Amino acid sequence: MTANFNFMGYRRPALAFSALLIVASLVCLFTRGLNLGIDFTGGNVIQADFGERPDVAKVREVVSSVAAQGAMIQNFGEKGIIIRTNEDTEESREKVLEALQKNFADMTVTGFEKVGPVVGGELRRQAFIGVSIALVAILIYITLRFQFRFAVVSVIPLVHDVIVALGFFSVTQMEISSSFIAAILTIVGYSLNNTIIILDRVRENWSTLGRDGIVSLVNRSVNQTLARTINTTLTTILPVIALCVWGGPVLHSFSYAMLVGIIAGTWSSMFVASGFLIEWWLAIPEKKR
Amino acid sequence: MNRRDRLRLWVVVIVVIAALAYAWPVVGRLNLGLDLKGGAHIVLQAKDTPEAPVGEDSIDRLLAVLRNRVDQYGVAEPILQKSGSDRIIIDLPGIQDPKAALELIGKTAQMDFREVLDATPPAPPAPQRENYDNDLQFVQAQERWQKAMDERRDSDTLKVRAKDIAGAIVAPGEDDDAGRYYLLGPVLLSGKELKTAGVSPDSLGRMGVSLSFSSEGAKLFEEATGRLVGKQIAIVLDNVVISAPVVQDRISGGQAQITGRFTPDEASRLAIMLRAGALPVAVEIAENRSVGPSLGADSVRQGLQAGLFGAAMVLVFMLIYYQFRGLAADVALIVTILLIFTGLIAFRATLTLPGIAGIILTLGMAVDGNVLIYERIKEETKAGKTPMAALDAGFRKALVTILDSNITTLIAALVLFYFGSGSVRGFGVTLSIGLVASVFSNIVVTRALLQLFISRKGNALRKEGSR
Repeated sequence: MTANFNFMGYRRPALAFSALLIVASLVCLFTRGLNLGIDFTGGNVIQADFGERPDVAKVREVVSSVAAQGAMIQNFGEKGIIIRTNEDTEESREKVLEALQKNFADMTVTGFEKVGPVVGGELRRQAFIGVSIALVAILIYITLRFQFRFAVVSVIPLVHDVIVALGFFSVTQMEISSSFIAAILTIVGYSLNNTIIILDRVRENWSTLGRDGIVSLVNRSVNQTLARTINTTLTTILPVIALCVWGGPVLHSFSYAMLVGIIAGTWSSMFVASGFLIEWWLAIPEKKR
Repeated sequence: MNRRDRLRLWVVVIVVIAALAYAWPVVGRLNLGLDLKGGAHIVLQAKDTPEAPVGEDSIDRLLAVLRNRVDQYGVAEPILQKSGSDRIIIDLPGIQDPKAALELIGKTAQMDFREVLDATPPAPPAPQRENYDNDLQFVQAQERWQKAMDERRDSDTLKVRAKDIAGAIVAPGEDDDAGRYYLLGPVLLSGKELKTAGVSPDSLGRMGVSLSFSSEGAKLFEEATGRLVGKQIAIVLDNVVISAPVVQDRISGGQAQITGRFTPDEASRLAIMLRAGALPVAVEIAENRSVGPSLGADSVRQGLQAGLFGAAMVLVFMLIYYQFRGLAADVALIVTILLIFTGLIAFRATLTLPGIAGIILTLGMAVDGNVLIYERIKEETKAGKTPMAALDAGFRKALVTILDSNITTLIAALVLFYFGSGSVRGFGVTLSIGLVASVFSNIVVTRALLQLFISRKGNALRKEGSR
């Protein structure tokens, strides 16, 4: 049995829902902003030596009980540890030191210092330029292999997914680390793949445009790829859920960004890309091809 | 199975064996980044000097130049950050040659071209034992040599003379030119006038560094060489004369080459430093210790366990949903992972968390490729084709889809690799390798396995197909 749901009958409510999501995300981004981690903001670095090699997990527990979530904690030399937190006030550092001294009697602080961001403006600018050039290259390739409209409607979901993922992090105020950038890029790749596969079906069914009309054509394409969409979403989301549940607090910003992105990506390729294609066609039908 | 099918099976077997032979054992061969494994923690202390005072602006520029150098050296995803008002922390993942990296970071690399006004004679070579008949003669020779060296006050007289000439300096020669001092005129042109620098061997096969000047620099260089035909021009790096060739002719066009006594590594390091620019302030290495993973050893362990568990779930899902074809997909997935690791080792890539994100995405796309193929085969079977015909048609139709989606993503991955830096670049590298591996697995491995299965269990599939 090939699935035959009337997805595209709901395209307008679906597009409206997505538009609402984007507006809400943007409003939240501009009012609440993002909770940027030490990679972006800089903060405090504390170096300490212990009597014996300390357990990173235990130190993390102590640090996160009094201060910053998402502190970077790493072994340093033989018996040392480096703690980086994104709060650069003196009190917060005192609080962390106090808690550590209470829990680790054999600890001696060997140094502390304010530090600048790891991901500075320059890196962010480079990432932005890289992604922009990638988007243009994608537009050109899809225009060559499909047609110009397909290229445009396959880029719209990417923007949609990134904004929704950013909005999610703005609402939850989950801390963002530098690996978040990689998660965003992964979301873009995933969503693009999803959209191309549906558009590929549309291209294959294109000869029936005259007979069935654009709505029915696109709807059939979405249905024909439905089994694949569900299976692939499941297989990609399984490892991500595992990371969310068991991956530990440091990977949270990474894993949750991926989770939200995959859900948004599946939704946007099924409804946003196809919905846009239909609405565009209904408004301005193309004569040739 | 016809000849082409058998050929495909052989390709798979050979590729897998070759990959295994190359990449085994994976542990220890794969470079892991700072976030997963840790590396060197280097603290640079900027030194305040009258010529180059330390300030917020100069530290920012210092950070930019250092980042440039480290990036060009090919270190994957280093951490560079300001610490306090006059220090910079550089964390580097485990690299092959830590000493070379320190040299790359710590050298100011201020390059100038200056006219040679005068030079002391080179120091006489120290006496060698084999040239003397007995120890006494040798010791006497050594004493004579030492006395001669002590009496060489030439560098001091040069320094006195340098005071009278505006912009002049005295600089020693390098290595086997050691002991010779040069009196050098004011800067003719400096490293700032460089457009780019590269490594190139000269006509005798010695390693050299080729320089290409900006248009302003080319003009200055042409003027200088025109004026100084028959005289020596010194190339001075961090106040040491690395080469002092005699100008044969006026040089126009803004190209020049330094041939010194470089090893290929030294030449490429110098080229990197010249390209990235001189450090705006002098620095010294205040600290150099090893650090553990920046994600924390606990997170790396947890993440690894979670990742493996997630991957296992995917394998089980495919097996349950697609049964024996799922087994083929699982094998193809494992081959994909093997090929990705082989690729990472072959390209000496450094694996970091963003890189792993790239791998997760490609594995997702590898599974997706199989799902696409299987759903197509199901459609074709439903349309009444025999298992082999359905397989052929399914692969043919899915191929276009797989290629289009993978090429689109590959374009993005290559752009990110080429234009990105740090984590963006790492992501681009693994994604590119992963996509190629995944497409190979999809259209060659899966197909070969399925054909093998079908030729064995053709009847079983026919039953399932008619269900």
